[in-house]
Amino acid sequence: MLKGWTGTLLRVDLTNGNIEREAVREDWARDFAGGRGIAARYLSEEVDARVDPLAPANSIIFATGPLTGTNSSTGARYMVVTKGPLTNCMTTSNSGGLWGPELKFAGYDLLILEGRSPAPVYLWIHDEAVELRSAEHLWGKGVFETEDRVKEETGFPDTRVTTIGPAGENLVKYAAIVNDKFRAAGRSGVGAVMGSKNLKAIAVRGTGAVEVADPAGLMQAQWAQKHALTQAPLTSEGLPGYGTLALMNVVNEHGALPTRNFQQAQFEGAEEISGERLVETRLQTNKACFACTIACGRVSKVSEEGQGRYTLNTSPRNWREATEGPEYENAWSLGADCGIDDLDLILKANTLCNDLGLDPITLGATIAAAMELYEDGVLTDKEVGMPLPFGSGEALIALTEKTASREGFGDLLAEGSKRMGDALGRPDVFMGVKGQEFPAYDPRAIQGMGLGYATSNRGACHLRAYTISAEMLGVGDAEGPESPVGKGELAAAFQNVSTAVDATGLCLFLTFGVGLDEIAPLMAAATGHPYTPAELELAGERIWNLERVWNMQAGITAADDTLPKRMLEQPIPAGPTKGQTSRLAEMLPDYYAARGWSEDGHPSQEKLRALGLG
Amino acid sequence: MTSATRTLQIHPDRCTGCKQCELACSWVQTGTFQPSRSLIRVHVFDEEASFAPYTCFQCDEAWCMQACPVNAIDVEPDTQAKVVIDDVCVGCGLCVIACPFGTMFFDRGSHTAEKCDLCADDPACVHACPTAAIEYVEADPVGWISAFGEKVDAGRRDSLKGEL
Amino acid sequence: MPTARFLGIQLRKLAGGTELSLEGDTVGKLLEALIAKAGPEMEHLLFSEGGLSRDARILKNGRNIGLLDALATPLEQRDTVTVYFFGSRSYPGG
Repeated sequence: MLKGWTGTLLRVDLTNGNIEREAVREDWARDFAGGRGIAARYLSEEVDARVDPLAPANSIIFATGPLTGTNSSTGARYMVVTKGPLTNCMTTSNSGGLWGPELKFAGYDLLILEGRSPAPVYLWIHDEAVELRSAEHLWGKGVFETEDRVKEETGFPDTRVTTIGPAGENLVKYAAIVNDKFRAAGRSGVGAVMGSKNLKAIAVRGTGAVEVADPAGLMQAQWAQKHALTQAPLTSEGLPGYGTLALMNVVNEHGALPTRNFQQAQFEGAEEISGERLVETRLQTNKACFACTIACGRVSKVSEEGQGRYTLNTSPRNWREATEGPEYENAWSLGADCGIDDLDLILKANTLCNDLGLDPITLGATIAAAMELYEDGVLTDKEVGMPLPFGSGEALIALTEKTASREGFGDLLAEGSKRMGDALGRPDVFMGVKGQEFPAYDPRAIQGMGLGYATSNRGACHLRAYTISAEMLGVGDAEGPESPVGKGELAAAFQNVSTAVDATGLCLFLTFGVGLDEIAPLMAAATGHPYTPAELELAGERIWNLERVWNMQAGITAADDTLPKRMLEQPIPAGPTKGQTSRLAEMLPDYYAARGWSEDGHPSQEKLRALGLG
Repeated sequence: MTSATRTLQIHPDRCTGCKQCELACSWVQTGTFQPSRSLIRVHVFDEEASFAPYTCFQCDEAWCMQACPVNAIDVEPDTQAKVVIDDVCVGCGLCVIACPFGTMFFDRGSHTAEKCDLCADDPACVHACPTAAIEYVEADPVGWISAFGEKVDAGRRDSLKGEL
Repeated sequence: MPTARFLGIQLRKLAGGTELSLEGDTVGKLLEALIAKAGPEMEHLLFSEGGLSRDARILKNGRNIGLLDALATPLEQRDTVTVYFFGSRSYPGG
């Protein structure tokens, strides 16, 4: 087996409690590079694409990459791959923290979880010893309490726990899986899949080793990678200084900050919820994921004025009642998108999302869509149970809790804004793609982002093609954000590279400082397979096409590669990007051509054969 | 401590908890990445909202040395590091019990005690730390921890107030 | 007078505020007025090797001046110029 890999996967059939060890297929490991890739390969082999995401026949896969657990900077990531209930597509949801490396140290590259347990259980992996334990007493508990209690029950303070909260148990369509209390595989409802299997948590303690093929080569490559990260302004200063929240003021100044369910593209309260404000008034310290030399994580408290107004529900042993975050996306969805400019309130709502196990992006976006419907008179106090105008922090907090428990109006919110809009006869309020809500960049303002959203395999997502990096932030070259020219090729290239990075077990934030030129030597030295940048990019393309083919078997067509009417037809009303709409129709043919797909978005037989998928 | 020797100076306020020091140390011990074999460990101090990497201070009293029944722990003359002599160590574990700082380790594989030996005057953890939270300098080895301990204690007393 | 707006805590400290009213009928002139006010450290930040520093981002009313007329981009009284260094020296780091 290639080094870097442990060579072993753990297969758990939750229906009958069978636990088996299996050798990882080496050819798949090589061709799909790891993490997101090999998990997609196993899922496509073993799960019918037409499966109901919440049925026992769906599997959920937790996968690390060859560099997870090594000293390559950011070697912390694991990927959750399954059919997502929000999108009915293959979803690939990524998380950092400490859990992924721990799984490697316990001796496993992947976990494949099948079936449905007859009663709530958690999986306890302590090196070779693996058992399912009753989780009856944990069902209904939040993420923080679950992690604390599971650690206590395993007897080791350094046990790492990934878990769902009540939202996952209640099959909220966008429930998250949260590890190390504040790191989440957040999107597309992976937590609901775990809940549907009656699996509350996975606890891991690993004392073993990750071995590499070429020790001297790896040391050389990781020094080069880390040095490059210290030279790039974003990874050396921007992210450590402000976290991802550095983007709030920047994106707002460019007129690309979606506001009040994308009715505007600039938020007058942006400064109040910016990275600058967080640092000045609330930041306690930076916190790194495993092996990360960037350390963008934030440990934050409510401001002095907020004391008493907001009590954070974190466990007392967490930084003396501090919380973590918020990330830019969350501060946007719970803030600007809902017209809310109170950073303390956002911290409170974000912490609730962590504890209840909710994806804050879709939650905030769904509440924002409901706010629009309330202001339009489609929803009233009676249906919602409270007033719901834009800017109502009280409603945001109350509805976050009700959504996780599916209580009252929360039951409809728990379905996400697409299903909610359809149910209320207003499909136009859904701001997303393939059932999943947009993140924090207006696709009318940044053309490449719109194309990336429309063609993303897991529904609207900023992490599949972060073209804003080249279009607006000056990392790499591209036409400006308002131009559709060249964006097809740009989006496809970003998708391939990002997918490859996701497969290695490293973090996408690396790409602000290094590229595949720095990552390929790490992969080669770790695995012993002579990966080149081109071969890794090809692996990314292979994975992307595999996901696409599976999604098409699941029922996705080119008609789903689209944006809401508001993005295509309603110009941005004011600000620097006034008058712009998404020019998707001009970009999509270029994209399909760049991908070697037919005009109706099908991967061609030649392309699939060339990628070894035919 | 002689004035010429250097020591690991820890700056908890710079530590981000990334564990690169643990990875580097285990690399030196095993040629693999295996944090469970690291002789430096990153601890979390909730009360201070801080991490602190933590390893042997090479203290003068060296209770590990005094406790060892077979004289398997010796002072390395150049660095003044206390080092375990593997083929003398019988694996009785008394040193692990004796160390008041919890920085003596026991390796179940080789059945011997293990401790920080300052990597023969060139500690790998220092090179690996991305924020200079670990420095190898001439300094009082326990200087940082008494001040840090005071702060942590005060914070803990503060947080327990409601419960006492 | 056009308004200059700054992002990032360090840059704001150096400029002496989050927003300033500054003279200048082009972006270049406005930056000269800024340097005259804030001093040589600001000049060092904004310009290197005879041109705008690679890390400097200058927007006129939200549009990157690189896509307009660069430093010659004309300004009117009600225009806003945003200055930031995305992740550059204006950020505290660590």
